[in-house]
Amino acid sequence: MPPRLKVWAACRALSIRPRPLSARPPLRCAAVPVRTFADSTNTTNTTPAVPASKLPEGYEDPEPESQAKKNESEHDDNVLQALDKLKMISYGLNPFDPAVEGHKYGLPQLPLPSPMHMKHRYDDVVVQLTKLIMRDGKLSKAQRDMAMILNYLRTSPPPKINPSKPLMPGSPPAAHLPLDPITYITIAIDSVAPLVRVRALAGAAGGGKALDIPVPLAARQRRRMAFQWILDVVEKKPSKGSGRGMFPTRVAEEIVAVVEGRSGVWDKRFLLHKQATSARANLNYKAPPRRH
Amino acid sequence: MVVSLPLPITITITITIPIPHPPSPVFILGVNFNENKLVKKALESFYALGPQTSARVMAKYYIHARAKVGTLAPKTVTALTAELSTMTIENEARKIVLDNIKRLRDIGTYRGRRHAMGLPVRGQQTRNQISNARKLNKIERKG
Amino acid sequence: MSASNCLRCCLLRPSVVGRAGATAATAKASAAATARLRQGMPLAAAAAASFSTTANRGANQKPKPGTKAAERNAPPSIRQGKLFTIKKKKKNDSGARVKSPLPGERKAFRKRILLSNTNALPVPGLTDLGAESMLDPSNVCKVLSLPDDVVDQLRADEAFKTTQCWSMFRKPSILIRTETVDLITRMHAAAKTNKTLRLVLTGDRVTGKSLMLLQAITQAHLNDWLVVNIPDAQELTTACTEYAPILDTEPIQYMQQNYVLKLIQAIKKSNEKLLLKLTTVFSHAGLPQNIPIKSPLMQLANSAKEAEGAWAVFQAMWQEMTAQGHGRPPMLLSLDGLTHIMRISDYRTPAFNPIHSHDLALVRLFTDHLSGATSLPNGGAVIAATNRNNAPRNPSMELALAQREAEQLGGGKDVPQPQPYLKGYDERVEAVLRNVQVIKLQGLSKLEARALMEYWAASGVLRITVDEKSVTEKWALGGSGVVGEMERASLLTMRF
Repeated sequence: MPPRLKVWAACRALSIRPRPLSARPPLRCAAVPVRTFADSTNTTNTTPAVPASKLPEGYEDPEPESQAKKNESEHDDNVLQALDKLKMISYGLNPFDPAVEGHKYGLPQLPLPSPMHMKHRYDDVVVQLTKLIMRDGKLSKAQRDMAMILNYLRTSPPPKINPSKPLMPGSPPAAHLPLDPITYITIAIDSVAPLVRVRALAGAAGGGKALDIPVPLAARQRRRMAFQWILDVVEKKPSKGSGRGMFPTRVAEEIVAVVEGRSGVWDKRFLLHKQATSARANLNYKAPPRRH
Repeated sequence: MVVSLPLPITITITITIPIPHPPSPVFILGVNFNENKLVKKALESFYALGPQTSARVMAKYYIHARAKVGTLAPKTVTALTAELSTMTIENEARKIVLDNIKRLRDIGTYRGRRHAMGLPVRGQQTRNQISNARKLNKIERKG
Repeated sequence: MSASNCLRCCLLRPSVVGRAGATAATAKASAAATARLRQGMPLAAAAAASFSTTANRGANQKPKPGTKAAERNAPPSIRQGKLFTIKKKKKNDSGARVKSPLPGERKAFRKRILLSNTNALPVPGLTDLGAESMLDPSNVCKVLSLPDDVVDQLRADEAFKTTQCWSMFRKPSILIRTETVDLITRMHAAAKTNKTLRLVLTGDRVTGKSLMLLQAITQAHLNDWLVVNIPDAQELTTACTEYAPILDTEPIQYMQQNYVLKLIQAIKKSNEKLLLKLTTVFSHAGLPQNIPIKSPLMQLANSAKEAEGAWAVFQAMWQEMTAQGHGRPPMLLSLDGLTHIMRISDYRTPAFNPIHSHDLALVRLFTDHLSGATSLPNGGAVIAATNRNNAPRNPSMELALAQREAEQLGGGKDVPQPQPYLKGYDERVEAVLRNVQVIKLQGLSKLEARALMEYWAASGVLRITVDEKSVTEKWALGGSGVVGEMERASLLTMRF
């Protein structure tokens, strides 16, 4: 529900003050180095936040002498700063570079790269697979499992690729895979993912029989299907050891098996594709117009 | 089992697996136990020997809590058998229970009658959930 | 379907029957059925009419196998009526049946320690630790690798833990921290003056206590000390290994022969060179095997083959290893999991009274050395590391360590006092820890964190540029540089 617009409530914040407030000296920010916006051109703007004309009447500087001293030291600082800047110019650096000036770690790169966003911290494929691993809503456990899977891939020897079960075209050589586990797992999943699914259209073949129609899948759907197949295989595998590291080890072993062409998931893919190929003829089927 | 892989840096994966041998049964009080059974479980398999008693018996012969039957010295096994034979377990314990029930029945108490009828003895409702009473409460109680 | 079957059967039967010479009863019945069909009567009635025991008996006469009659009789005939069979429940037997792991195999798999990852890049300029490397303050904030023979010794000592990330790097390497140099310097100062360093490593979870212990053991091996390491103290006190009383002890003490046998074998493996070199100087009675004077210590160690005499052999070995004035090297006695031996154990006396951990002989040996009741005559160190995960509640130990720490900082007033209303203080524990030095491990400094992260990055395991920003980020994520948390945040994550 959008908040109601309250014009009158806003006016309440406006207060009329006939008298000056207490004798507390207003903040004078002249001494404070001003942090400007990254795109502001006037980087040497050192005007005080409260101009003298706006000072309350009767206000006097409590310690004019110390202020003078402060000004002096400030002057010295300015000189030093200026010298520093000159030095930077002599080194070939731009002293007014907003990435350098006034920021401890520089300014963030704009537009913000996607991993900087809380919801896009991880790779898309990794996020999807993690959610598929998740059971009972335990995302944190799923994430730990996924980290273990990736670490397993990192520490396993480079896969021996089977030419009869080729990987995605354009995938890096096998020797490069272990050091980049995210690519490793992505290639494994994408290579074994089916391109289509066969949809049984109820009653379309006449006589109450279903008609098989191949339907193309989107990338995300393809990955889901492939990983579900992998998880099915993993579920049936016996556990080699005990402890929390066992499930991730089995998943990772299956992913290596997929890349090496040993996995039974490939057969599932071939079978589905074969079925889809034979059902190609049904693509001409047009649904009869709906009766209202 | 030591698997050494020929690699630039020596990796030694040491997996020690105890060589399985056919389990040789151990007899305690004439009962045959698999050697992989915990002593605690073996003792508690006797009627009227619960966790408290088994812990005490084991402590008496310096048997640790997670000892398996196969690791016991033959001397300890005979000592255990001797110890168990002096205890009121199994048939003697069963007989005590039967006698108690019989006594209740003989003096004509309500509890005895309930036992005889196979109904709950201690005032429980009998509308539902009395399967245990049906199963157990008899004059010639078994189990 | 049944109707069509019946039709076929009824129509065919007479001729077939005539040919094959089936029993007269069947022929008669089927002929009757055919007749009924011809008359247009319903089939059900025919089936009902054909029901007779004689027919069944006749049908039960099995023709010779292989004949046509046998083939014909194979499907159940309509005359027999339909048999009601209950389908057997299919077992949930999905997939091929695979042999389940042998007993002990799962545990071995869980406990295995991998020390190398061939995929990780070799770090350029990584040097091996030398005998003096960990003494040199200029080595602080450097990562140095463990020499191969020391790795084998450490493996024998079980100094590597499964929870540590050794399996991700090319070669096991360690970061030299300021605390490392502090600890090693103390060890050396003690060994030089034939004194015993008595020290407890403490600190929060995953601050590197076990690894600091590993560094101490490494240093001992590099300098040819004798090393006796108890890798996990909970194995001694959770009643999971055999125990037996030692005669002639008052109050009675208990030996743990099986554990001691395992320990002797570990000592044998990790101190092999020294044990071959050193020779016995005492004669020992009551060993399983007679060991003459001046035979190598290894022979003594080898005489322990059964759990039976292991404790006697261990005592003899200890006597020999700590013999004074025979050129024995300094010794390191170390233990991980101090919390577990500072409590009442799970063992029981025959009278069913609980046994205090300090009444277990092996634990007693350690605590006596830690408290200073006995010392190592050839100098050396007794080092214990506390454990925080899976640690029993231990108010006395916590208090004693906090007190020692406060005393070391020189705070007179700030020394914590026992809470008057808290139960569970243990005087024996306090007595042991009355006089020990304490090193409390905390987070890494930023420089150390940076050195560590540079090592990770050079190994190809951490794939980010290591600059001030990323170091600060991981340092902060790791709770001000708690090294295990930093590892979790940068190595055990889904993001590289």
